[in-house]
Amino acid sequence: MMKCSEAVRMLEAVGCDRSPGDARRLKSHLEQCPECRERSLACDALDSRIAEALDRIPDYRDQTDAVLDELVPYSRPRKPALRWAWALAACAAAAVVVGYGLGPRPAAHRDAAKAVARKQDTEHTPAPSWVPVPAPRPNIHIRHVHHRSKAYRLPEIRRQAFVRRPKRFAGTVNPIAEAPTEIVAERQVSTGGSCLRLTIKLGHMTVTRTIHSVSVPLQPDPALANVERPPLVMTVRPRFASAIERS
Amino acid sequence: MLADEKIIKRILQGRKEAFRELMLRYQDRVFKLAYGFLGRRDDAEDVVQETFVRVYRSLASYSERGAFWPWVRRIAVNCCLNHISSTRPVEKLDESTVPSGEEVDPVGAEVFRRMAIEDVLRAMDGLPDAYRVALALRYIEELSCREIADLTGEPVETVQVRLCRARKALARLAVINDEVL
Repeated sequence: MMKCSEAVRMLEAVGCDRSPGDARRLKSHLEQCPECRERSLACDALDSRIAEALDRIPDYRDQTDAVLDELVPYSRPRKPALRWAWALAACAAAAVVVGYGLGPRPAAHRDAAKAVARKQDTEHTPAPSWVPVPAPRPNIHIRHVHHRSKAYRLPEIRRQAFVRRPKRFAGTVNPIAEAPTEIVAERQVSTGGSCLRLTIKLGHMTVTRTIHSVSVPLQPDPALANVERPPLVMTVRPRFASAIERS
Repeated sequence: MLADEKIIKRILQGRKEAFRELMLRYQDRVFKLAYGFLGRRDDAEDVVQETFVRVYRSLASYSERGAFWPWVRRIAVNCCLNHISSTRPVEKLDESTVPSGEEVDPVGAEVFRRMAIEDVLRAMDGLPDAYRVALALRYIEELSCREIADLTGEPVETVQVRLCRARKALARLAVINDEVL
């Protein structure tokens, strides 16, 4: 006969696998013990209440467009047959060229070929130092504006906000990513200014994100008017937490 | 309806738009899970985006035939855990302060049935993140302790204890509410 303490322990171990033997023993105990039976019913009621609570989710806004906007299509795999065809064509072309070069040619032809080769040499342009890149991904996360000093006010931070060049553009020129951001709209979504909904214009794109933990007052603080403040740089990293750093 | 694997094949052939179909199939589930973890709609939506971007970028390495949702869920859980670890400035209830259980007297099922859903949600909000994670995976995804442990990378015993304590914390709240009423 199972003891009540053991039955309670098994009832509380939610999500744990019970062996068939344990399940049988528990069942027979519950049939004989009204107190544990009541406990078991209470556990079931609590479980269903938790499940109901977690099932109650708010309206969900479709995110497909936002996600698809920032995805780059996979490159279409080349068919092997096609590669072989290209290789054969290249071999044929090479054979023709070699055959032509080995054959007798008039002097005028040779001179013309040399002139073309010289021209190609002089007109050869080096590879550009930068590669044009697509616009930065519009899905930019701005969060965790960690700010230690109370000497700054949010409007100042916003004015000085600019977008740092994303990592994947390193070594390339991307004027859009370096363009200053423009805060189009803001909405306070919590009291005390700790959470803001900002709409930011970045190049031709507009993104809206929530900033958490802004620990600066929303209203201009007259007491801080004469405080000397070092310049601030707000770094907005795509998909990563941004930070305000003193520079 | 096309199988997930066929859609993935199309995406890998360069048809990005096919990914929309996959998102429409799974974004609700990811959102539900993320909301269960984080308790905030904005955060959950961010995690949904993050998850699907990662899913898309990892599609080439997807090899678990017929188990697309568990694969997506694993990515979603990782995104949620990363999000929690990197973006939670609010100090939550310390794990050691959650009741270990002995002080909760046995109560009738009626007490729990009377408990308002809003009260349950509020109580969950006060739980440490790790407890919410365990609750969400258990009650939304109906995973066992072992599966939760696999997903979160924690020992099974830890998951068991967290689930047990979280339930007891909620039970205690139900009792207090009932006494007040």
